[in-house]
Amino acid sequence: MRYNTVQRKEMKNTVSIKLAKIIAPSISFRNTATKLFDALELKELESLCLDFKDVEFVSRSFTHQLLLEISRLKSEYSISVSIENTSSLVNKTIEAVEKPKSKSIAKKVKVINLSKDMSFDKFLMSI
Amino acid sequence: MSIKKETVYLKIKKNTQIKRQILCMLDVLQKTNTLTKGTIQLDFSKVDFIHPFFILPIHCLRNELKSKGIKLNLVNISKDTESYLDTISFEKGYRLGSKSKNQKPFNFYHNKNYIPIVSFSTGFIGLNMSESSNKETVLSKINSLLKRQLDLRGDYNIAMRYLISEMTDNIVEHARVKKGWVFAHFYREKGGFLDLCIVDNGHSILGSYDRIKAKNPKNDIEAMELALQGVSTKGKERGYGIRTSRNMLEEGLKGNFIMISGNAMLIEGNIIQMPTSCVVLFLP
Repeated sequence: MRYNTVQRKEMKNTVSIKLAKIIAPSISFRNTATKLFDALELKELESLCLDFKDVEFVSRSFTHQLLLEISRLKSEYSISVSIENTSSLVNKTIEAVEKPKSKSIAKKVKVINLSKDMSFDKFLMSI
Repeated sequence: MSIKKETVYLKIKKNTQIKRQILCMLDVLQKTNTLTKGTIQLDFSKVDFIHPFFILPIHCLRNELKSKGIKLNLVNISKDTESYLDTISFEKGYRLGSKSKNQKPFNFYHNKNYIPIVSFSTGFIGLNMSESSNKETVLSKINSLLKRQLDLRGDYNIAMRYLISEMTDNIVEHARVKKGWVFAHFYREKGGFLDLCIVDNGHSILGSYDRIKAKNPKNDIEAMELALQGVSTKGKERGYGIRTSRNMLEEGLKGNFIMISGNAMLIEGNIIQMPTSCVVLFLP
């Protein structure tokens, strides 16, 4: 697994991660975000660029975990993290996850207690 | 419990309602629950069509039973059905990235109305970035294939990816198993509709709550109610997946969200206790 290491004048150690290439064009799983930075020497890193070029879709779960990981990198290692080349869809997902909002009310469900006269088969076919 | 041979006579046609398929599947499960060793035969002489909702759990169950010394055999299968089962990789599941000569290339399915039975690893036993990437690639390819087959565009494409990602991630996060499975078939008639089935054989939802001693639901039905309300085993910031997926599918796409966990089933807004336990199954 190779990440591009970019030497810049103003910062000693900067890494750019091209997510579509390292992972996939569509990123779904929460634990992908937790694994993403495992290969990095975090103590030596000053800044990190997450390049979303060619990433078509990110799930809400992955995005939520990614934002938690970015926050951890900032607070534990003082690493500055930038996000680049996001599509409008990826932007919308990030914004939706970033905004703290209360959960909407769940659609109602009805718990059915089958009477002795009504078999499961009969009930299932009746609804 | 006994050692014996049981035969289940199946009757599934192309227009068989999904509820009848569920009953067929439960019939098979009930028979398997009575065996410690032996053989279950599924008689396919009156089956002329196979739906994802029936066949994926059977595939999953078959592998599970094999490890317990119980054989699940399919008998009296027509040549067409046998050919279809072979094409969808019923025997061993489709392994993306495998170089097996017995497996068709993934682009074989580009012009089909179905994807094969594909397994995805969860990383439950440990996962490095390379394995994580492989897992994402599997899902990416499934999404791309469905997009191509169904000509999904715009919001429909996004909705499909959202549904698949949230439901498969639930398996990765909660089921405590090595893999899950996905299978789908698109029916062009009646304006077109998709049967998408996602299965694991891990913890039930109740098992997830029990493991961390949270909320203490008494049974599978209570556990399912909590999950549908968005009560996560992993904190207040979590718990969106099932709830939002169900909303998206039912309100946005006018579909049916069916979920089975343990002996609880959600169907058409009703949670009912089933006559047999399907600890193996989680089926959106």
